[in-house]
Amino acid sequence: MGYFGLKTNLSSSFSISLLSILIALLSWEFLVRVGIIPALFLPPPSHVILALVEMVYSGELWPHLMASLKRIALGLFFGVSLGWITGIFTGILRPFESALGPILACIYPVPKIAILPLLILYLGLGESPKVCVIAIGVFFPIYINTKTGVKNIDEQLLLAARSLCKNKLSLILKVIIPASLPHFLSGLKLSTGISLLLLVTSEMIAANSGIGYMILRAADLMLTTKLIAGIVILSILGLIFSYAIELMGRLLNIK
Amino acid sequence: MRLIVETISKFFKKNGTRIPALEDISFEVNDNEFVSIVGPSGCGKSTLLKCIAGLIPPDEGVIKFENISDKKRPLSAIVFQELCLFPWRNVTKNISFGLEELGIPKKLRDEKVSSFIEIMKLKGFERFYPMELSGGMRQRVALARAMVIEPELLLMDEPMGSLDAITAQELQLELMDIIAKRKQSVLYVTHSIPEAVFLSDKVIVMSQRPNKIKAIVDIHPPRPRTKSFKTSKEFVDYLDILWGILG
Repeated sequence: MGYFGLKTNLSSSFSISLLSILIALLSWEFLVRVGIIPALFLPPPSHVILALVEMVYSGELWPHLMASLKRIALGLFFGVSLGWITGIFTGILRPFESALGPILACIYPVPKIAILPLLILYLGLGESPKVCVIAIGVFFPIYINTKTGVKNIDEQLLLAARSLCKNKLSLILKVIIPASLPHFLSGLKLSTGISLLLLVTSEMIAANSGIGYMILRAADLMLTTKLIAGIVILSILGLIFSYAIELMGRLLNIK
Repeated sequence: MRLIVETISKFFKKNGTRIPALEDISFEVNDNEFVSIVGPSGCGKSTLLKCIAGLIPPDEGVIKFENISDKKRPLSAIVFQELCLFPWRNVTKNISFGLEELGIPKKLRDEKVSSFIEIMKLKGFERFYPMELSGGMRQRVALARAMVIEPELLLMDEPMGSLDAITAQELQLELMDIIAKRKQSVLYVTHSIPEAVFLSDKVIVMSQRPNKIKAIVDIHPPRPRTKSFKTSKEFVDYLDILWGILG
């Protein structure tokens, strides 16, 4: 039973969601077909799907998708692991936080894409500046959330754990890390959004492959169908990320 | 085992001034003895327990354990009032945590854990997570987790504090029997005088400001005691004495 005594269960709420997406797509299709919206500005969903299928079969999509995925995977890997470790240590050790906190607080408000030109100067036009800018971008939400998670561990829980566990390392591994995981995961959720944002922007600024590059080129050529197909791919990527994180939370029994 | 607490003091600093949390506390807990500490909130009884558990150091005085027969046995384990179970571990895993840390082999660990699941009446709930249990059940798990490592001294900080009266009563009676049967030495913090009288051999009464020991009262009837003790004349007399001391 939900609010107002309305009966809802998982399968019915799923079908409501499905229905609402379907209605949105159909009205979009309808508005374009009737001519209220010109197809050149907003192609109907059917055309976008066709374009996507064609891009998959012609093999045009793969190099771009692979290039983007590789950048995101590497960026997330470095950013998340560094942010996680920094978060845990600054959460546990006061001096560590005093030393690193102010520096990180200065870098945090800078829009990370502003660092890209500098990274290109240092690292050249290859993959590394893009990976690097993503890593820097995702570092912060992971670092901040993990630190918050460590600091918010219930004091009684920690005392009880300390009374049973004299070994510091095992306290970190078996209590502090699992107890801070829910915060880490919400940081991870933010990170995936940020990683997509930085991926696309950096690919639009300095790349000759990737989904961002593909979208920009399609716009230059006024190929709106392809442009929207690119956006759809990004949306699907985002959905896959957030689903994967949710699944991770469920596997780790985080509620 | 024998716990000796000698002239302990502990201060907290607030805005530059030292606020005494414990002043000149001395007492002993002997083997197979159940000792309670009662007092109003803020009298420092929880702080005292944390000092004895080795979680915070006292500023003055000594805490020592004497006559330790088995060096491998942990000195103490603590049970708190609030939910302090690991939410990501199920009942079995919560109970076995301390044993894992002591490096007890898996097979022996499983044996010990399942015996405590039996003792604490948790059978059928082995795979449940703390969130899925009632308050009373959670406290049973917390007790099992502390007792399973067989500490020299079991420390409890208002373990019944968050339970309803009926559940607390039931758990109290069970605790009485389990502790007596296992000859476990206990130091028990509570603000319930009847609970302290019912469970203990010795009740330490603390005052607030100064946070000192006011009196130590022996409760003579042998343990384990039954429910009928609670309605006896003797019980009421003890309550009178303690209320008199607390003023």
